Amino acid sequence: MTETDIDAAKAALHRRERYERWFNWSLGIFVGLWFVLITAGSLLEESLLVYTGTVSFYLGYAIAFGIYFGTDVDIEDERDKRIGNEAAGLLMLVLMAVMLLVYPPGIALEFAGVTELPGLFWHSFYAYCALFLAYGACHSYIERRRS
Amino acid sequence: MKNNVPELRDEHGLSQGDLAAAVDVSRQTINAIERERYDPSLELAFKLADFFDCGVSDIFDPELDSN
Repeated sequence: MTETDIDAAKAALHRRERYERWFNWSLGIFVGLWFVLITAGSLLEESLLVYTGTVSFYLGYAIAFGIYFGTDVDIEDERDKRIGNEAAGLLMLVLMAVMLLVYPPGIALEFAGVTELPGLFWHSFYAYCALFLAYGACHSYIERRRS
Repeated sequence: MKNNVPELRDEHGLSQGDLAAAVDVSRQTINAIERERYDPSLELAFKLADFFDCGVSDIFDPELDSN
């Protein structure tokens, strides 16, 4: 690789790093602003703040998606992707541990009449079930693509 | 995985950023490979081998893996 090639490659790398910064900042700032505005809107009962927050949320994602899909720059390299995959796997492991440790005993205790579970318990249980069903569907899809 | 990426990089007078740019990954990825915190994909291993004009087994040595 010649000096010129290295310089061109470095320019491409710097471009990727710049786009990655814009991607992260657009999500961080606009989605952060959304959270602040909807919180303020809820507390002050000011719907305009909530609407502005909603616009901010979608603006942040529009910029991020524009960078991700609308440019030829791949802002993640293979290590970034593997980190994302491993983090998702770890999260599923944690969620599964919670599922195993909390729900079966909780439900059994309610049916034994020992305790009465709050509605939140059942809502979160159904959310967990939906999440694991979605995970199963995604897993099957990926497995089929890789087989 | 044990590797001699730092030595090869030094021989070629390159910084981590230069090598990262040459094989189209981030500087952090090269750093993680050198510190044996990250095993590269086959594609990246071949890119590195191609860049240094040697075989993959001349760079990476799974026999000496400390993990």
